[in-house]
Amino acid sequence: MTFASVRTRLTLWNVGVLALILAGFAATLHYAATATLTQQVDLELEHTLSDHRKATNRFLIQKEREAALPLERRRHDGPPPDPPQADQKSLADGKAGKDRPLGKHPSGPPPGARPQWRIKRPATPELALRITLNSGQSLRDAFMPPGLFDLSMKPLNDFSMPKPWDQAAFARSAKGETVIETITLADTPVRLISAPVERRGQIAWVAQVIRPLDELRQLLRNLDRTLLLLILPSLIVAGFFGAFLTERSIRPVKAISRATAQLAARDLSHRLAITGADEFSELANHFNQMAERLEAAFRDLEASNQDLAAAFERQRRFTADASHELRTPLTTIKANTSLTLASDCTPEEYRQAMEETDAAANVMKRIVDDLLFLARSDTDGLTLRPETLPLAPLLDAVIAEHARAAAPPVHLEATDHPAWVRGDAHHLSRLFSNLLANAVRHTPPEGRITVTLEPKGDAVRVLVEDTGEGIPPEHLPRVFDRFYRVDTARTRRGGGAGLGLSICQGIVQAHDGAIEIASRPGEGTRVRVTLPAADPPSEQGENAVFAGAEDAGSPSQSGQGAPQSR
Amino acid sequence: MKILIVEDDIPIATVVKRGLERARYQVDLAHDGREGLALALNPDYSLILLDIMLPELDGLTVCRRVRARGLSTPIFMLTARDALQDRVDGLDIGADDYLIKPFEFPELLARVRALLRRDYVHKGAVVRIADLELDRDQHRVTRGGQEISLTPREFALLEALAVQEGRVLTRDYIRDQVWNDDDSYSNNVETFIKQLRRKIDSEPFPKLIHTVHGLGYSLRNPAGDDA
Repeated sequence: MTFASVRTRLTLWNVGVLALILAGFAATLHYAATATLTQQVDLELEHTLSDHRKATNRFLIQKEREAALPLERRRHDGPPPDPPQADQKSLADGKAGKDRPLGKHPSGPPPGARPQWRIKRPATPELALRITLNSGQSLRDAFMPPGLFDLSMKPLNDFSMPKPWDQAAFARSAKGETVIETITLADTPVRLISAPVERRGQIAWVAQVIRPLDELRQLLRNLDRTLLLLILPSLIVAGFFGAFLTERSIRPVKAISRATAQLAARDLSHRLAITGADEFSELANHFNQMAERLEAAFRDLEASNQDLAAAFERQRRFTADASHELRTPLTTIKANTSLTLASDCTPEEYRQAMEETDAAANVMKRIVDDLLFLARSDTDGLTLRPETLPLAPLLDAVIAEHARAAAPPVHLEATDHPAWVRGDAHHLSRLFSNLLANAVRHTPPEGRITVTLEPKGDAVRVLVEDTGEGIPPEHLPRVFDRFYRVDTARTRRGGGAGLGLSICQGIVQAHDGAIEIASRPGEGTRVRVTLPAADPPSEQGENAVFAGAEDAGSPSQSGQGAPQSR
Repeated sequence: MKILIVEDDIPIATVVKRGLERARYQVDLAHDGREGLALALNPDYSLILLDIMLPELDGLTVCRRVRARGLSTPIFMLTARDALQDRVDGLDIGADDYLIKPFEFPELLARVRALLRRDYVHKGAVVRIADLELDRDQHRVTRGGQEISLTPREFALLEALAVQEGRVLTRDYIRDQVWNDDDSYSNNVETFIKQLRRKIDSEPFPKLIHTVHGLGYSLRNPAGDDA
């Protein structure tokens, strides 16, 4: 099942490529989303860090100032204002403003709740996160206290984490490096920014702000899940649809294949049905054209094969017939000679043997001559000695030759027209002699033979009609075949070897004429010879002597054309 | 011995007939298959020489029909067709021998003789029965070493009796097949038997020619009888 495999292969390729594309697409989306979201988190962290830095700086300046004017200020102003409070307030305000995209943090410390913070503030970052996680609060909403430390890792104020969120990052930042990285705290991915804060050109302290990434991760997981949910059904749908499409496109191929099989198995005349105007109909069309040519070629081949077979069969029959016809007189010769040689004979017996041998040799000679004549007419045509001659005297002479006591009477019906033709007198008299001999042989003495000579347009027609036994219709098409004999009883009727009509045909063809034979059994046979008419050599008769110079053939010559016996 | 020739080619038929007649056979001629078949059905013929390519009915058909009538007359095919299949077909249909044209006449005669003596008791040229010796080629007969001169008619009679030793030959058979006589003077047979007995069967030799009353005559070896 090649089709099934083609369909499967196509479908698999289809789905595979689609899967690759979608996977690439999903991966790109995933990383782009990750990058974008991380970038945003980083931005927020930077903002928060910057807020903390400013507030803490203000707080530190305040503290320094307090330290510089301790007595006067205390005397005048009473207790000093609480800078962290102000700082916290501003920081909280700032945060509320900055953190809007991240939502509010209701549990964020109210500005004046310092004691609470001090109590609640966990000792380690992990603990801080774990507490928040355990509180059931979303990490996103939880407030992550910043880490603000001097270089000895001491928190700068109560507001800060007691320890840095990340020691390694603190160490790097203490050397002046700003670190933004993702770390894992309490099994939770956390984004950390750790930056040094300079004062008067020197690193004075380090600020660290974190932001848990679990939410971001959740978001990405959701995105991945959504993509997966989209991709898998897409692939399934694409697979089915692809299979369906392949099946549909293969259907015409299957039809063509079926038709081809039929054509190959049964007959070349089968054609494909052409529907529509797509590539398949074009293919079917080309296929049909090919089949057509194939069929034509096949037909030609068959025809030429048949011709060849027929020619071969004719040749085979001819050889067999020739051999048989020559063997028959040869048998008479051999029988006579061997019989005579084997025994003592009287002179009378010798004479009889010699006469029979001679007669048989004559039969052989005639057959050989006829065969030679036919072979010549086959190869280079007959060597004609053409002259312009009148047919009427020629026919007269031939008829006279065949007039015998026991033969049926022969009548010549001719107009006064001398019927001039151009031809070889010897061959033409042989032609009519053969035809007359046939007629005489097949007509009983009480019958009648008529020879009609009539000019017919630019042709001369000679009809030889008899009232003889006729030729059965099944033999008619083959009477011109060599050695073909309607009556196989050869010797009793004195028939020849069956070459007479073949020779007649050869002669007529050499004269550019036509010979036809029609017959009705029991009624008689009619042979029609048509020869092209020729112009009389000159005026006519006695004038010819004077006008002789004008024409090639002279009347005296054509007069001689009247045949002698062949 | 009567032989039928079925041959459509007159020159061949003529020379074969002449040659066979010179060998002292009686010959009838038929020129086509139909005529040939009609004649062949006559059981008088000792042999039929049959051409294969014949008008009306071909030789193979004639042969088949002759055999279909239950006739066992030897059939000798003569034909110009020398294809193996033709020969095999002819022999399978019931022909006894086959000769291809053109042929040597002595061979034709030898084959005719071979076919004719096929069911003879004695097939050689010289027949010996008791002290009677008969040379068929040289037409010589001796009894007890003494040469006996016979007329051709007497010789033919003795030859027929001798080669078919022990068989009874009827008067009709002797007249028609041995002498090829058309005129019926059957008493003649008895006359010739009497002459033959006088010449070869007289004392002191044991009697060889026996009369079977109501049937005909036969030649028997008395020693063979005793044994």
